[in-house]
Amino acid sequence: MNNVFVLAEHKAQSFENITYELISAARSVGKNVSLLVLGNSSSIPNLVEISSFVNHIYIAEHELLNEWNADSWTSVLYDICSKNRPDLLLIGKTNLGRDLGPRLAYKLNGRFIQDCFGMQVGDNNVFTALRPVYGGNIIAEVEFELNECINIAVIRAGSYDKEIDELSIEATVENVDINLHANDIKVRHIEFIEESSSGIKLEDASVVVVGGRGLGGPEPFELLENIAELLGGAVGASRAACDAGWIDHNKQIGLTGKTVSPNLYITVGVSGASQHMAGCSNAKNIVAINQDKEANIFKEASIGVVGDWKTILPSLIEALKNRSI
Amino acid sequence: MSIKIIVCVKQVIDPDAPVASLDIGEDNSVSSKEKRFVLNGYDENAVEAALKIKDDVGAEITVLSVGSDFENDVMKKPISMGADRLILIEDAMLLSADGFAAADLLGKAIEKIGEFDLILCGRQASDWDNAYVPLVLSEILNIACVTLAQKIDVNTNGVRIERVMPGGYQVVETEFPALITVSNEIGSPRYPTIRGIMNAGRKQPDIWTSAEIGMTTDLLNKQSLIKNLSIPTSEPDCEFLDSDSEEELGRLLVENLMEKKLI
Repeated sequence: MNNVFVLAEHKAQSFENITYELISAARSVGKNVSLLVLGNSSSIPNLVEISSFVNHIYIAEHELLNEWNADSWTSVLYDICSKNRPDLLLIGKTNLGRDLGPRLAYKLNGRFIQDCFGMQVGDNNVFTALRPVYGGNIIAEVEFELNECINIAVIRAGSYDKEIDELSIEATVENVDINLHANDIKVRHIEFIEESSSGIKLEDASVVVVGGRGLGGPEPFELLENIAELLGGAVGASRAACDAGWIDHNKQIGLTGKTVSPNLYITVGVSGASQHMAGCSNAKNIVAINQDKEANIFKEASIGVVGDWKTILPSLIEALKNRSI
Repeated sequence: MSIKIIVCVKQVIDPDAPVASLDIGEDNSVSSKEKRFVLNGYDENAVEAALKIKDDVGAEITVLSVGSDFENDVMKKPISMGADRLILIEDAMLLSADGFAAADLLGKAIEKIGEFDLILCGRQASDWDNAYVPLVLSEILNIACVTLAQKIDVNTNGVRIERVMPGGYQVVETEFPALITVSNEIGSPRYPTIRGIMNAGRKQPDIWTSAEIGMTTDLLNKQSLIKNLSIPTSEPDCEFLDSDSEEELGRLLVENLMEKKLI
């Protein structure tokens, strides 16, 4: 396969990890990798950090191309792709990527695959990839020939290595003519409200203590906070616990919540549905505390404790406190 | 004021049904051996969002679905929650249709419905988790699209929406007509009321065929990309801590974790 395009994502003038992962994915299947860098004058990063990893860089700079604007990004990407016809465009599984991928595929009359990993391209230009469906209960194998139309794949974060070897050449850089009209923009960005959460960030914590439906109410989360504090970790929750209003939604781990990869993942009253496990499949050690010994979580855990959290957690906290004396 | 809302919903296999009850056909279709179907959970959130708008400013809510083998009780749930009208596009061929074809069909059905101010959809369906039908639909209709709403405020000109984002939320505004996908953060779907249930009992859905809305077979299934489906298996490898007294278990766990140098 010849031409693979990668959509760069960046923040505060620095490329996000997903951009490197996508370049890594692109280089594993294509000869010629082009990076598409869209943004405005204050957001586009310096290209020095990235220009030895790709063959070509398209720069599209316009005040309307801020990070909040899927309308303007879709419009500019459509122009670049329809003019330069890549065999494959890789996009990250981010809010922006998931918004513009399907729209772009429709406009380009191309093929589209959501949330895939394990991508391969055979000699005969046959593209294959895997994607989880039915909440991760089923794995779909996707296969098609690349040379008929523009193909767009959204790549799951963390599925490719962000460390990449440098190429022996520097990327050529090309500025793209931009043809944006005010009526391309239908949705106006007003503001971003940051929700501060105290303590260690869930995504960065090496220990995560997670509560689920089995906790039965908001109060037990205080015990989980105690444990997290004693272990220098953070508290998370299953979707069931968040939807019940026991804990804020920004603590939700799972398919539609946060993805975490701690060294130790302690679950309390979590059944272990595949939709939840999708958010913690990279956790290195999973401990399950659950009353139901048939619960799915014990199929995923390496250490299991069958019993009532009301009895187990206080003795666990006591033992943790004694440990530190 | 009162606005016209169309909510797009989908019947799915109950995501809580055990994996063993899923049957993968030779044509790579997935069916439920137990015939356990529900309304897609995120679509119920979209119905809830529509009802909140109805409570606030008044709305006429039409629920629309394309699919096959509809279960009456499942599809009538939005009516029992308080929606006004139900339109089903039922076609056996839709079993093998992909999201692009589904979006085409929804677009054609919405053309037939006529005027609307808002289209609400769930953020994704719990079966294929594609999350692209609403986005493609917004392109087909050439209207604004805002995804992952946790709050929707309708004003005279349009809507102000809070979108779920990593580390917080984004506030955006757009004019009517617009399509919004709704996330579970909007709040739990309300329970059906007695009046709603009686309403749902009386009200019959409008059933349209795909031919009636101008859809032909060649437009269906444009993207058959799936070669194989399989259920991943993992060998359980769990060490269970054992004690006669539950009080001991907490201490045993701490000892075990210390031994393994995990804490």
